[in-house]
Order: sequence, then structure tokens, then C-alpha cells
Amino acid sequence: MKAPLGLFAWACRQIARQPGTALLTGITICALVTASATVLLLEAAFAATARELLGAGPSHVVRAVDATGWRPLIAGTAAETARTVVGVTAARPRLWGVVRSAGGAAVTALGVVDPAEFATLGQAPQQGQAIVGPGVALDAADGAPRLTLVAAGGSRTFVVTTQLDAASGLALHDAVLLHADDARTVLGLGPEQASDLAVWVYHDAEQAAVAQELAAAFAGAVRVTTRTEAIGAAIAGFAREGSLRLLLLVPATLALCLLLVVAVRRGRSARRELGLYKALGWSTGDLVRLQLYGALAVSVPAVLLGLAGAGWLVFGPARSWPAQWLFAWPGRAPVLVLTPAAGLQVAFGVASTVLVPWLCATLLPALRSATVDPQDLLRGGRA
Amino acid sequence: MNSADELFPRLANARRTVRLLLLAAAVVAVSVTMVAWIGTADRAVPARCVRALALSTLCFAPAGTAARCPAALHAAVDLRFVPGAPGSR
Amino acid sequence: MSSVLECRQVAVQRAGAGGAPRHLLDGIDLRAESGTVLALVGATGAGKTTLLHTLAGLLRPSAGEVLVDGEAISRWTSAHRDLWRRRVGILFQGAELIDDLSVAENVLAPLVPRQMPAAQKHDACADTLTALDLAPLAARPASDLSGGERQRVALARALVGAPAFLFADEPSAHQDDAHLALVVGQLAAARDRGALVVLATHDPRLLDAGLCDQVVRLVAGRRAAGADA
Repeated sequence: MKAPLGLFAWACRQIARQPGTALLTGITICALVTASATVLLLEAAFAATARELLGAGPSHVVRAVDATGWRPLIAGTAAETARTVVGVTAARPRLWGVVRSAGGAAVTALGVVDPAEFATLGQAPQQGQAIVGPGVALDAADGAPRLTLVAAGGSRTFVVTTQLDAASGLALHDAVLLHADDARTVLGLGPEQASDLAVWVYHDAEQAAVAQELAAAFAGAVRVTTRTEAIGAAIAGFAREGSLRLLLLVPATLALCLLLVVAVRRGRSARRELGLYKALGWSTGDLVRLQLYGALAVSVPAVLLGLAGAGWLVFGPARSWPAQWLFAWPGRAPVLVLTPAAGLQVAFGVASTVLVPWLCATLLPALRSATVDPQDLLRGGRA
Repeated sequence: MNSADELFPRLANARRTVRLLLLAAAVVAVSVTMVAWIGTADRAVPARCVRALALSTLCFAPAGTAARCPAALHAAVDLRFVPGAPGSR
Repeated sequence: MSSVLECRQVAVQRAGAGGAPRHLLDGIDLRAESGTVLALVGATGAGKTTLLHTLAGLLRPSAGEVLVDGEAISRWTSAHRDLWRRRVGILFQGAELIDDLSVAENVLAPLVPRQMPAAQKHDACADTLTALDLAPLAARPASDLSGGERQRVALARALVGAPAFLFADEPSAHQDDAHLALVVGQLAAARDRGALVVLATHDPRLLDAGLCDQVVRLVAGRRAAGADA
């Protein structure tokens, strides 16, 4: 005696009686879960990634502005001014901006201001050298790899000492790291000038208050951006993209609705069987459990596989497809962060969104049969 | 007919198949989660980059796409200097 | 424990052609005790099946009451009726098997939701199949069976749970004499272990088998006066 002869085994047998229907149902649920979980996981992962990575960055960025836009800062003076504000622990000028390579691609030129800090990544570039991100296309030339940038005062060619690997793509995908002097030349900045100023504070909770103090401390007009704003802007930009793509879930949702309708409006033979089971001594509770086990036996593997598929698309080696879809990313997408909380939230949300209506639709006929005489059900009456 | 498997072979097979399916799906889901989990360990690299270069934006969109165009970025966050562009000097 | 099944002025109506009510049963009174066999006889359309289903709790009467040990089934809640049906074994006239399940699975069906060890379920099925000469057919789909085999499978399904009340509609249908003896033997065994057996039949062989303690004759939905045995 191996196999228990209970309701679960009977529910499995019910599924095996109509394997095609079960398979189609499973595929539909799996596809729906994959589609919705991919978008939601991307959003959650994006937000978690932005929070985690930008959390390692400065708490404020101070930029000098005028009526026409950005204006360079005087690096030393600006840093000194920022340090006078109570709560500021450090201030470092930054050199960066968008320039074009000889091939016409937009890249972000970054000057290494603090070689000691940069040591955690490797050796800082010397004058005439460049370290480039994984997404930067180098000049097509024989010999040492080179990169030509179209600078403010003419083109400049750099020897590329290192091309960073894909792991750094999230921060430096299109970045060209240069010696500070080279960066100033390329960006058209004077010797004492900087693009903006990065500031760190002692207490993160004081970001807003310190931002006001910083703005007041500078003589000219400045725009102070907090880390919270930077994270919020990053997430909002993605959410805008993602919500548009959610429209693509409409067909999948329609498919689920169709499944629900089919499950509720079961055929005459299904109603007859409900009546027969009742006549054979099954209670309404037994019928509900039978339907529940059957529905779970189909939908739980489908949901698990759907979630696994979404996880694979977003976090696995196959993550190029959603990246191309959402960001037109040319290759594999950057590695995003999967936090347990975000992952569980998405998994639970999607699973319940799909499972609850599906289970309700499946259980409804059994629940409705509670008030119907078995004889009426056997005749194919409404359940 | 000494065993239930003998008397109810299809019942036993159906139950076994569904249990295997459930198990396989769970194994796949756990494996993918583990792979994803291990993969995200790579994020230590971009975090070091952000810290070392004091970055305040990330490269979620690739270079050359609209999302990376300075004009399309959030003005409060990514007001980059673009040589020759209006407002820069 | 001895049980009593009673019918008091039971009537069943259905909407007939043109919306006029059609009386399937009218003013039926009867009483039967556990450990006996009650036979409902009558011509086709006399109301045997309707009365059987009403007694079994599958159908609510339009008027009158069916009482079990003095309690009216028709006043019970759905949950109570579910419990009542668990004490009932039913054999339908048309067998009502699930065609794509095997014979053994059809017989197992009433036991599936019951809280009892799997071994006990298995043994009950195996014993019942053997008793009705169905063991060799156990693995075959019900759709492959002949009329007589289907009826015996349906009887096995009704008997497998050792019900306190057995309602059998034409249990001898399509049975040759050898298999009729098996059927009669099983019905007698059910009676002997204390079940109330209610048969609907027009098979004289069954009536002549000396099985029935009480015979109720129905004519056009009414109990025929003075015609009971």
C-alpha cells in the first residue's frame, strides 16, 4: 500500500483526465506571471539598485547655475564654502560631462580628482591615458587601443589602459575616466574649475536641512540635489518607462479573464460530476477541497515557473531581453540588486494577483453546488 | 491486487506526476533564485565605482539612447556640462 | 442502532408541457426499518425512481416530509443533508459512472473524502469488486463495460462504504442469472448487517428471490391501494 487514496490524489487524477486543458491553463498562468513579474521585478530591482548604489555616493551635489543653465564652480573655494556648513563631513569637486567620441557616440568624461580614493578601483589614469567603461567603443585602429574624444578645443586621442568589465557597467557603462587635467581640457574647464561639488554629511536624516544651509552658504545661485532626490528621480524615470510597458499586460490579463470565465461557466458534464459526487456522499467542503487541490496542482507549478522565468530574465544570464525591451540596452543589462524584501513582495503580489481570482473562479461552481440538489446537478442544472 | 498502485495504477501515476511537477517547479524556482542571488554579488563593483568617483547618477540606460540624453534627464539631478550645448560655456 | 425511514404525504411536482404542474409523486406514505428490504414496484413512469431519489435526499419533495428517525430531511441544512448522504449508498438506474475513470476508481469514489486509512479504502474496494465478480475488470475504463457490468460497478460503488441506507434503482438490470445471484447476495448481505435496502425494480426475478420484506406498488405517482405485499 503506497499511494494514499485521498482528495489530493483524486484531484491529480482529475487533472490527468484532461491533460491538455491543464497544460493550456498552466501555460497561460505561467506566461501571465512571467510578463507581470518581469516588469514588477525590474521596477523593484531598479529601485533597490538605485538605493543601494547611490547610497554609496555623496549625500548632496551642489551645482552653480545661472539663467542659461549649468556654470562651472571654482573647485577650491566651493569645497571650502561647503565645509563651513554644519553637518558637512567632506566635500570633493567633480569633473564630468558628456562629450562625443570620434565615432559620434555620446560618452561621459570623468576626471579622477582623488587618486587615493580611486585606488580601490585600480591605478588612476595618467595624462594622455584613459580607462573606459564596458560600453565605450574604441577607435578602430591597429596597435594600442585608443579613444579619440571631440573636445571643446579640438579632438584629443587617449591611450586606453583598461576597459572595465561588465560588472562595473551600472556605474560606468559609458564613462571615460581621465586624468583631472585632461578632463578639464576635454570639458572646456579652466585649471581651477570643476563641474560641480559632491558633499557628504554626518547624518543622512539632515539632508534637507543641510541642503538649505548649503544653498545659503554659496554667494551665487546654486542648485543643491540631495541623494534622496537623485534616487527618486532615477526610480521615477524607470517607473515611467515600466508603466507604459504594463499596457502590454492587457492581452495577458484578458487571457486570465477568459480562463476565469471558462472556469466559472463549467460544462454540463462538470456539473453532472459535482452532482454525482454529492450523491455519493461528498460534502460541499469535500468538493471545494477537491477543486482547490486541483487548481493549486496546476497553478502553483505554473506560478513558480513564471516567477523563475521572470527572475531569470531580470537577474539571470539571459537578462538582455528585458533590458533591450525597456532600455534599448545594446547587450546584457547591468547587474541589478535583488533584495529579499523586494523579491518576496513581487512574488507574493503577482502570485496572489493571479492565484486569488483563479482559485475563486475554480471554487465558485463547487460553492454554488452547496445549495443545489444533487438530482438537479445530475441533470446538468446550474451550479 | 495487493497494493493500491496495482488496483489504482492511474490514480497513483497521476499523483506521482503532479508531485514531480510541483517538486521540479520548486527546484527550478529555487535554483533561479540562487543564481540570481549569486549574480547580484557583482554589485560590489559598481558600488566601489560610485564611492570612488562620487557618482550621483547611474548608467541604467546605455549611452546614445534618449534616456541618456542630457536634455531628457531630470534637470535637478543630471544637469551635465555638454560642450557647445545651450547653457554651457 | 435501528433506524426508521418514513414518508409522509410526499409529493413531487415538476413543470410540465405548457407550464402546468405535473405530479410525479402524490401523497406517498410509507415506513421502513433498518435490516429490511423495501421494494418499490410499478410500471415505467410510475414514480419509482423519483421516490427513491426523494428518500435518498437527492431531491426535495414539493410537499410532505421524508423523516429519518423522526427528523425531516427536507428541513435540514445543506451541511446536514451532506452528512445524511454519507450514510447513504445509491445505485442509479443509468449507473452514472464516470466513463474515463477505471472500474476500481469508480468504486473508490465514495470513499475518497472519508477520513479512513488508505489500506482500509483499498481493502473495501478490492473486497466489493471481488464479491460482484468485477476484480478482473478493475483496471478497465468504465466506458468499455457492458450494461450489466456497468450496473454491477454502480452497485459496488453504492455498497463500498457499507451504507446504513442503500437505495438501488434496477439493481438487476442486464444481469444474467449467475450475476443476479451475486447481486441478490450482496443486497441480502447489506440487509443482514443492518442496512435498510430500498429497491426500485420491475424485475420479477428480484421479487421472487425472497429478498423483499415489504413491496410498495406505485401507479402514476400514487401508492396503489391494497396492492402491497
